[in-house]
Amino acid sequence: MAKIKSKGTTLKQEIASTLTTVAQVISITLPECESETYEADTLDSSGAEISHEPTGRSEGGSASAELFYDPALSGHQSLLSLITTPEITGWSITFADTAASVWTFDGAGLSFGGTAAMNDGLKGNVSIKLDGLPTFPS
Amino acid sequence: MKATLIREMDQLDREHLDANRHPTIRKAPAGTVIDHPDAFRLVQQGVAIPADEECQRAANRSAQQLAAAQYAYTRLAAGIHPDDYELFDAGVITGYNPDGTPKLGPAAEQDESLQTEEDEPDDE
Repeated sequence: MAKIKSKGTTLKQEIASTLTTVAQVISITLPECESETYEADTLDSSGAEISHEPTGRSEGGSASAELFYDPALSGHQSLLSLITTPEITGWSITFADTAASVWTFDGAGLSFGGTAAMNDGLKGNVSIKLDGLPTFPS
Repeated sequence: MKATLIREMDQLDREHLDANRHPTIRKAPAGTVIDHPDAFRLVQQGVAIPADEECQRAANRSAQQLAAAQYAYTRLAAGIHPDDYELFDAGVITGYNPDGTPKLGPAAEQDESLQTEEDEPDDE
């Protein structure tokens, strides 16, 4: 059991069949995966609890990252190419633990925004909509 | 369009799926030739060199720009946070340990910012 530091964690985008590290990333938000449930309460149930059951499906959610955006950087241009030419793209997040554990997933869609503020560097926000679930370390 | 990897890179192997039908990760060693319409992007990012004229033309980078990109990717691959780019560039750190402490580089001894109290000379 260990508390893993975030520094050293990398986000990689599949470019030309190769996972390449996205540059100047400040923070990464892991996909908010969720197993789907439905409310299974009935009129004749006793007690105050509301029961739930799994549907048997799971949602991959979205992953996101904040970065210092450099419009001239090839890697950042590759991110935006997914807006102009949408396609299923592979992604990975490599953690900074001893085992260098990896989550991999396919992204079906991408959104990109950013902020140019007087008192800060030019920043971009990337959000990746997952296709299916990530592959978790096992 | 072809490019040749100059460092080992990960690839998603979509032909060999795991038990959950997810692609597995395979290592593509340096020297692997990538034949792909976006191969020039690998050159621009500093992980490959052009393997044909088409790729050379599409990458559109001078030798100096390519060298800079290759160096920048080394920093990226080490997972260096933007706040620490200067320390990496100066050779003070080379990466991070799992506990978050920096892996010290050859110039670490000269860098005062990494000196801890334990490193101070004992007056007693």
